[in-house]
Amino acid sequence: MQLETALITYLYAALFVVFSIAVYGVVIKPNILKKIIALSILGDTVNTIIILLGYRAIAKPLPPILPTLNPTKESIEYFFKTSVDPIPQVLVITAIVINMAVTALLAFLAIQVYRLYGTLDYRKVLKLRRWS
Amino acid sequence: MRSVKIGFILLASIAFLLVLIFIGYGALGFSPKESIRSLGEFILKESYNIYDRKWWAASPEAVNAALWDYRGLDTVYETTVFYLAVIGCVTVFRLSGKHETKGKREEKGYALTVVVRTVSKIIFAAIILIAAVIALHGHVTPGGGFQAGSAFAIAPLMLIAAFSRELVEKLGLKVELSHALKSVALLTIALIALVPLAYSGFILQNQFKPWSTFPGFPVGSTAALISGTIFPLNVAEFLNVAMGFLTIFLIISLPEHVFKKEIGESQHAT
Repeated sequence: MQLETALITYLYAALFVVFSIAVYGVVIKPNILKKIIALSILGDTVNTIIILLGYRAIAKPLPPILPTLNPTKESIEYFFKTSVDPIPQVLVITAIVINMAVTALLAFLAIQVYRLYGTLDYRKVLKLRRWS
Repeated sequence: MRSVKIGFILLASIAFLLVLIFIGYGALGFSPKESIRSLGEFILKESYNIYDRKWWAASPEAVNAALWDYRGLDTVYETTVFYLAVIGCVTVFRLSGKHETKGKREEKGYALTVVVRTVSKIIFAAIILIAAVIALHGHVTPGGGFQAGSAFAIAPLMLIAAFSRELVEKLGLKVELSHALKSVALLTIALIALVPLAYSGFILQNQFKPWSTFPGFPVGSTAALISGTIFPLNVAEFLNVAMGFLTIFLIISLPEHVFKKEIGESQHAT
C-alpha cells in the first residue's frame, strides 16, 4: 500500500469513526437534545465525505471559480484541467441549508416538548403521555 | 439497553473493518484522483466559455452557475423547503394573538458589559457589510445567496444576546417584516423562473439557447457583470434565508412566561 492510499484510507476511517459515533448518539441516547446534536454531526460528516470525493489529487488544485472575466481559450482549458469538482460543492450547499432548517425545526419541537412535559428524556415523555 | 449498546458497538466495528478493507482496495473509484467526473468538467468548461456560448451560464463562478442555471429547479425547491421549515417553526410556537408582547416592556435582564456592547455594535455593521458583499458578488467571487443569508443571520442573534430582543425590534427587524420580505423573495424567484415561458423558453432559462426563441436575460458588460438570472436570484435567495433565520431567532428569544401562559390557558379550556 502506498503512502497516499494509506493517508486517504486513514481520512475515510476517521470520518467513518465520527459517523458511527453520530449514529450511536441518534440511536442510543435517550435525551432528545443530544439526539439533535448527534444528527447535526452526522450531517456535517456526510458533507465532508462528499466534499472529499470532489477533490483533485494534483499539486495545486484551484477553486472552481474562473479568476478572470476576459479568459483566453488557454486559460479556460487550464481552469477545467486544474480546478476541483464543483458538483459536490453544489450538492453540499443545498444539504447544509436543509440541514440547518431541519435542525431549527427539531430544536423548536424539542423546546415545545420540554414546555409540555418538563423533560427531554423520551422514555419519560412516553410515560407522561396522556392517552385521550 | 446494555445489550443494545454492545450490539451497536459490535456492528459498528464490523462495518468499520469492512469500510477500511474496501477503501484500501480502491472501492471508492473516483476518490481523490487526477481527473474529475465528466459532468463536473463540463460545468467548469462551459459556465463562462465566451467562445462557444451554446451552453454557457454567463458566470465565472461554476458553483453558482450550477446552482441557479444547470440545476436551477432543485435550488428553487430547496428554497421552498427552507421557507416551509421556517413556517413550521412559527406554527409550533404560535400564539393566540392576545399574548403578543406588543407594548409590554420586557423585564430587565442581566445587561452585558460596555466592552461587549461596543464590540458587538462594530461587528454588527461589519457583518451586514460582509453579507451584502457575499450576496451581491456571488456570481463572480466565492459566495452566493445561502452563504450571505447565513452570514447575516448571526447579526440579529448577536444583538439579541448583547442587548435585548426589544432593540432588534426597535431597529425595524420585526417578525411581520421578515415574513413579508421572505415571501416577496420567494415570489421574485418564482417570477424570474416563469419569465422565459412568456417568450416560449424554458422554466429558469438563463441564456439564449439555439433550440428556443427566448433571447436570454441581460449579461452586462465585463465592468458590471450581471450574469443573467444568477445575480437577482442570489439577492432574492439572500433575502429569503436571512429573513428566515431572523424569524427563527426572534421567535425563539420570546420570554418563556408568554408561552407558559398560553399553554396554561389552552389546558384550562379543554
